Amino acid sequence: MFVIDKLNVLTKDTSKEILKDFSLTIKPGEIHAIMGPNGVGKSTLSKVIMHHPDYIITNGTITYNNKILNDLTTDEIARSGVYLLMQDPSIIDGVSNSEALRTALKERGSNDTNLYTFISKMKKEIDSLSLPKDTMHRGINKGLSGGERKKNEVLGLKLLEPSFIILDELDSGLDVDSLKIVAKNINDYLKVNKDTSVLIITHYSRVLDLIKPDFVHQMEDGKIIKTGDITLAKQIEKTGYNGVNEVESSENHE
Amino acid sequence: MNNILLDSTKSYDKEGTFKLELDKDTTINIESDNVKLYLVTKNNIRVDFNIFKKATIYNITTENITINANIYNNAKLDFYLMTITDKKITNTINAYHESKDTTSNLICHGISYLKGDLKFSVNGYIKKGMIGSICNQSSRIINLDDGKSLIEPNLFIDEFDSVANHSAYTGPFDEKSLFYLETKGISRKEAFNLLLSGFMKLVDLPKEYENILDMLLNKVMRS
Repeated sequence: MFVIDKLNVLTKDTSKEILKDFSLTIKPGEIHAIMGPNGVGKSTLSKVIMHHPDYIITNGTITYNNKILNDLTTDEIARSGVYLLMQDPSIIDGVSNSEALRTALKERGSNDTNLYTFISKMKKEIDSLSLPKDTMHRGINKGLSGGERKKNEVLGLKLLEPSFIILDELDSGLDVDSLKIVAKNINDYLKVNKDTSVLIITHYSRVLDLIKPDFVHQMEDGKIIKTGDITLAKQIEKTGYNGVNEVESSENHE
Repeated sequence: MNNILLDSTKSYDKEGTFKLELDKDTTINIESDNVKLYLVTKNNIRVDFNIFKKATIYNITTENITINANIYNNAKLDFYLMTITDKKITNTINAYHESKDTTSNLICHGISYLKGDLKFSVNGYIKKGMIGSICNQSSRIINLDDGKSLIEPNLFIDEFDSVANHSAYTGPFDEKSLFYLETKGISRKEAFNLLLSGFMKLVDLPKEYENILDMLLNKVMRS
């Protein structure tokens, strides 16, 4: 169970309040989507969960499987099973994909670090994601297009086998065909790992047509203001964020 | 890979891969294509190269060094400098384009640690008339502990029909890269060591030569 309880967060440099009494509960196997316009704190939320040094939690808790994440370091949070698929993955020249992922597995105490087992599995997943053959030995995300960088993040996901996945703007930089490949890989993973939960952060509903959420939340000004199912996402897509609120307000008035 | 005892001048007229440890001023002539030289330099020396063909030169050092590369006859030089130091030193690399259509790619990476004070002075010279010449420089120094550093990239270009580029960075490792690796479950210590090793191993190196670099890297890796 992943629980965020009344979380308040400031930016470290400007002390601007980004998240305000933010609460969210995600049960094992559930898929939640958070939608909202630019600047409401969606991507910040993903970084705060991973204990990014640019943010300070002033109040509230983030708990995963009864473990409080607030006081853990980023790598400890990741090793507890949380995987952040970044909106804009870094390019790191000199450190190869295989080197980084094998180190990550070793640090988890995984049995998959045997070189033959690891390489076989990595090759299989590279093929399944239609990534360039030499991805294994390339510097992390070096020479990859925006879409391929997202696929490379999914490659990491499939090798590290997390139990809680955060997809931050998965569809940005992906063309239609690549998005389908990425979504298929994530759905295949979720079919096998039924207790894995997903938090999708997105502007648009198109990714939700491919990875179907159980709940959709609308976020505004650092907190969730509305929760529904996929129809909320469709409504947002149709009328825009302001439109949804105007309809709601007019219904309440009547 | 061969270990060769040097007098003060050495010429290479056949392609191949060679390892040299230099501790005195030396002149090296490259007269064949595809010569790869793996150097380890000591004792604050000066090395003069006369490059007549396509050559790749690697140099590991912890001390002062001056490299003068004279490039002739459409030759191309790829030069990789790997410096790890806790001393106050200067590495001076001069590439002189002495003929038309010559190319120099100078890639210099350094680590300045403890009380280190590392300076790269990287200079490319294209004289008037050396048309079609290309002079590229990329220099980076990572400061660890109380280490300091300075990069002086200079391009002295008198020929209009030529290409020259440079980039330079000094400072700590990018926090974004560290955070990225940590989100994969890699501890900060291991992430730091991965970045350090990747930063210094610019290209695939022969095992024996890589071991020399590893011995130096072990002094700065986090344990």
